[in-house]
Amino acid sequence: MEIETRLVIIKYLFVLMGVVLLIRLFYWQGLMASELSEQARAQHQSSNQILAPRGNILSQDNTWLAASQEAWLLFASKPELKEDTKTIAVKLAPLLGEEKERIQSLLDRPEAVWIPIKHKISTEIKKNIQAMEIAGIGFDKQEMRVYPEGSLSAQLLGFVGKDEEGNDKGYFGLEGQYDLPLSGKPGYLQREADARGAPIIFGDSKEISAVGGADLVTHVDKTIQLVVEQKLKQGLEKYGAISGSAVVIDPKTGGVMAIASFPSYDPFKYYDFTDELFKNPVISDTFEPGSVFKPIVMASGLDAGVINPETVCDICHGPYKVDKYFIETWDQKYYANSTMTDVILHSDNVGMTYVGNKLGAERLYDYLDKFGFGGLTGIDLQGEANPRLRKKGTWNVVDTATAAFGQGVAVTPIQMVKAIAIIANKGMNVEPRVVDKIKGLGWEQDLPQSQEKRVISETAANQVTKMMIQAVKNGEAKWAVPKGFNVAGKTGTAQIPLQGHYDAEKTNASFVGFAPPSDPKFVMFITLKEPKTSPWASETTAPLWFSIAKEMFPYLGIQPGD
Amino acid sequence: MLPLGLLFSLNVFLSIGSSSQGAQIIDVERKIKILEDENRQLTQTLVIKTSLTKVSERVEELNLVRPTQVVYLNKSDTFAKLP
Repeated sequence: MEIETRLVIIKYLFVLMGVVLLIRLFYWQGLMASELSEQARAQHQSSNQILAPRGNILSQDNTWLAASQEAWLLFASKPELKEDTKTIAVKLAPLLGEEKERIQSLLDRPEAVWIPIKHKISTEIKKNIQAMEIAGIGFDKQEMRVYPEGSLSAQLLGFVGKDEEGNDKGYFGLEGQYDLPLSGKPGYLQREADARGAPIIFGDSKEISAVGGADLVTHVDKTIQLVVEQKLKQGLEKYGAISGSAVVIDPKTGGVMAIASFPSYDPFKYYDFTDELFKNPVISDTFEPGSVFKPIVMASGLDAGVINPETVCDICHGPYKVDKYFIETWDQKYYANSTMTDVILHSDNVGMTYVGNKLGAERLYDYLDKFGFGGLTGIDLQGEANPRLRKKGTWNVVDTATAAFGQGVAVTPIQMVKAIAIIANKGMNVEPRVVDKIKGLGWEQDLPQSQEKRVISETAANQVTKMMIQAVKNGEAKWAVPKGFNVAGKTGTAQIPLQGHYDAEKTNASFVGFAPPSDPKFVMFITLKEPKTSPWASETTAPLWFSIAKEMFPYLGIQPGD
Repeated sequence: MLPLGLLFSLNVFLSIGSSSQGAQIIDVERKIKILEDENRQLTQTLVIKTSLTKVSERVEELNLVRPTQVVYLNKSDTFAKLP
């Protein structure tokens, strides 16, 4: 071949190579530019979300009522799966406690690439799955709410579900009320990294710190809570009641030491239960209190000075006519010339009508309002009901008479225990609170205590306390009182209102009391709905109250004679 | 030529330095993660172990019984009174 021809060939070869190079350059720098930039950015910049754990709910001894724990989202990356979906499903099903058909149908979902299989699996299950080394199966870090005491205080705690966007959100109880402080705020870390993933010191970095949720330290005493729940459950079975509630508070601080209700639910598996169980009956159920209301009205009369403990009831010799109705006693026994102490001791409806008449409708309304009836107690739990009092100025003689012995008014258990706690607290206001303080990493904030406000005089409170001691010592429930102990208390058997009249058979039985009367350590209110073994509180809730109190006395250092 | 050489050396020195510091950061972060995981594990164990419900169940398994009768002593004068 001649030299010219060779030169031409080489020339064209160079031109061709140049064109190929240009095309290649255009391909990489033009067409692939954005994709390559993205890959480079991914290699140089690592970014991670920093999880913010939800705060814990602690009892008064700083142990856990609700805690956050590490959990995992199990997922499948379909392009990386090497085994057939049926085999994978068979392997995973027993560990997840799921049906293999469900897992397989998830994995067989057409057009899906990244498939979440199960949320919030424990680290232990994760390790077991990892040990099987299934290609294409991975885990993303999540958080799980655990309740170490199981269903204990479920209605007090509430539960953590999801909001519309799939984020964790607290519902009901403390989880609902304190969702904001409990919820953490996730952070974000972005920085330049080298090929090994190590950060480049002088590179760009951006960090938004995660703020963990704050812990709630409650007044709840786990020992008392456990005793109350166990005994209440036994009580429900023993007396054949359809439901029951109990609440224990410290009358000096208003701190809620225990709240229990049955039937209840497991907050860990809240989705297996019906919505009605999520409400806390202690704050959301309303009922006619019956005779447990009498100490409140009596205290009002004593404070107003319209009666004193020795005042003689001059209408107590028989049924008393109010308008077209006759007020009768619960046992049809009448005690002429009863003193006010006798009226409480015998739970005398006619005697209470006498007190109501002395007070008058306006003044009775004002006292009930001061004791907190007709308004929210302000307890820091989600879902408190607010049964209204009949409007001031519209009470007729019948309303005044019946309200005096706890009929025709609706209250919640928390309102009832608050009102009795005021008597136990020597007439000073008490605001029930569940949370004592909120604390985070290196900080702590006490929550405000009850406002210093006098509701009734100390003398009136002491006088009605003495009456309640007599009611326990010599009343219908005296047989249930632990020997030697002083307790101020009152039974209440209330008929259940039913479309304008009262059910002839069914009752709500309640007992409220505090101990020791001289320096009360606790106030406890118990109510049972429709007990079957006996309609009377003296035979149901009173013995139940004392069986719980008996356990609490040594625990709280209360001795006979205190 | 000398300043260029110095600049080049400085550049190499700084690159090596920052690279090793980056590796140190990764190492510290790894250690932090290990400690955090251990801390979490310990907390999880504490959460379970301090459960009163679990303790009560264990008490029943062990056939431990509550005292059926509590004896209260009269509050007496203090012991070892000062003369």
